[in-house]
Amino acid sequence: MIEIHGISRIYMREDGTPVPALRDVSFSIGRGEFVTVRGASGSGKSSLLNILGCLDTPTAGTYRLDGEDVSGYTDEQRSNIRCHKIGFVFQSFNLLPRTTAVENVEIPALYVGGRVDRDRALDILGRVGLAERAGHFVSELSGGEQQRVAIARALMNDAPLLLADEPTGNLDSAAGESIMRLLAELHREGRTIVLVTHDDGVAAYAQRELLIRDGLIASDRPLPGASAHAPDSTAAVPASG
Amino acid sequence: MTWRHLMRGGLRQIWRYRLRSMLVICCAALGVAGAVTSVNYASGGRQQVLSRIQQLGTRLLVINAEQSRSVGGRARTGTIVTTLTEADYLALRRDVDGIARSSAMVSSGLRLKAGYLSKVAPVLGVEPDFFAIKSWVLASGDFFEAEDVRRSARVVLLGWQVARDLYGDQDPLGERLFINRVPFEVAGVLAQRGQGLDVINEDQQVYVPLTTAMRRLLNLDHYRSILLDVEDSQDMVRVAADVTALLRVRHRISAFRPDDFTVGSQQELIETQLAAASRLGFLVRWIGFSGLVVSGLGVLAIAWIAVRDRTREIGTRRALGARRRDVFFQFAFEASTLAMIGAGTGLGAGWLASRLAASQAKLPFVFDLDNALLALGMAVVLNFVFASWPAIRAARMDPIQALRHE
Repeated sequence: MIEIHGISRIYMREDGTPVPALRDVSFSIGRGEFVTVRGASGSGKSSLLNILGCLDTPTAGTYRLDGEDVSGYTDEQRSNIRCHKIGFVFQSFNLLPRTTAVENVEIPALYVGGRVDRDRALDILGRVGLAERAGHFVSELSGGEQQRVAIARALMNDAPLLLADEPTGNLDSAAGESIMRLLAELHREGRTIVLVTHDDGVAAYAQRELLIRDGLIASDRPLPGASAHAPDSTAAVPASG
Repeated sequence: MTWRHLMRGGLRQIWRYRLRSMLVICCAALGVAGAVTSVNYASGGRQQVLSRIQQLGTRLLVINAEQSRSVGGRARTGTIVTTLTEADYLALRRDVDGIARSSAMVSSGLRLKAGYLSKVAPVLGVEPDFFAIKSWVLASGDFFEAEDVRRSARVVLLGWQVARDLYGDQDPLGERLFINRVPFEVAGVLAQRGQGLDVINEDQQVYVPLTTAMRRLLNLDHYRSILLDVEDSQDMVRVAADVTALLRVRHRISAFRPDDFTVGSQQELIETQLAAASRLGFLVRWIGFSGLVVSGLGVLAIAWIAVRDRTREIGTRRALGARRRDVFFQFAFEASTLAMIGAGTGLGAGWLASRLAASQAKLPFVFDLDNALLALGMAVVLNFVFASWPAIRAARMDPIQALRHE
């Protein structure tokens, strides 16, 4: 699903000094894997996530997503990739205010072109357990419910890759747990999930953990708890450096 | 994003942020309404000036018998001069080309008496063409004719104000009016004109046939003045020169003596008035234009704030697959839709306000469609530009930064 080879991302300070956020990182993630990315703040995990999400392009290296080399893509091409291949789940939900749940779910479909399938949006909302809340405004929903809407939105275009950035960070533990169960379920359906988190509890649901430190992959290990979740057989490539 | 989604989503956003939407609409509407109203108001003013000039006679030359001279140490002018005679008048009509119409005139302030009411008013003895020259119409009754002049008929036409003063709401037609104790029959009442550009209120005068005034009222055999309506306004200077030359010869004025008459036109007055009107028009258009720009800046400011407030939304939409142009179109559509609604509303409001202003200021109501459309067009272009700018900013945002924006 994801093949990263020799990726670097170097930011330029205003005075011209380069600040490397990622240094020659390589790894791959197989289709259907559930991977958590962990690391202290400033370790480079946000940069990695931005590149994985095609929001940013690497300074060097290649990134193949679903067999397609996207590292040199233009803004427009990356928009297209995000639209069709990637579902985002954010820490602070990022739902549009003053908008109903189902309208939020429909947003990714707007950018595909053609008709927006409201029934599909309602269907997905039903799958995340919010069938009755479809017509409610975002402000009328609890945090956990809002994150469910966001997950439903990430599924709208049937993206094979879900990128979740601290999806439980703004939730109490009960709501966080239910969100994790939902993600685990989506994983069981065969979706690839990459999840950035600080939360140790999340480890119980994932198969594999990437630890990032100073722009390098410090460790890449399978998680024992994951064995219950029918792992995809793709072997992890050891991290370079 | 298809057009249908763009429109539906845009209209929904407009409804969701309705306070802000109302602000944009008001802003655009006020700009257009202000421009339209002020331009129409200026056009109304110009229209009024033009119609007053029309009343004054645009191709009018007035010959006045005047000679400054000293009699017993006092300067005397005017009616004392007895040199402008019927023979002069006939010679003028015979020898000077390019005169369409003319009327000799005498005048004096005399006492009018109708029933128990009396007042002193200027009485003008004129020929029938006088009213044509002045493009004046009757409120009621009939003008007098050449026949009335020939037989010095005792008929009188009343200025509107005189008729009011002497007869109130009664119909004065056929009533008896004494002028210096001579009985006259009221033949007609002239239409109201108000104060002219020459500051004479013609509504406060009465008009009798020329010969009647000369023989029955004033006992004169010379004229106070002669009004000439020149056929072609290009000819004014030439006719004035011809008239001057002819009269100098007839009056045997030697080369170094001044004229004993003046030949004047209203040209200068008209030009001053027209210049003032067009200066006002220019000023008003400028104010209107500035108003438009200010309202456009208002639209810009609100659209700018909208983009800033919705930075997170922009980041989110970009992450979910929106291309730059999707974001641009979304914001440009929202802002320019509002601006268009506002401009349309402003056109209607401007029409109403123009009517109101015209009726309040007693000016003719003019809806200057060309200028209104110009204002509308400018508003549309300005607002589109001003709405696009923040939209471009929105489209250019780095999605990563936008997502992080608090």
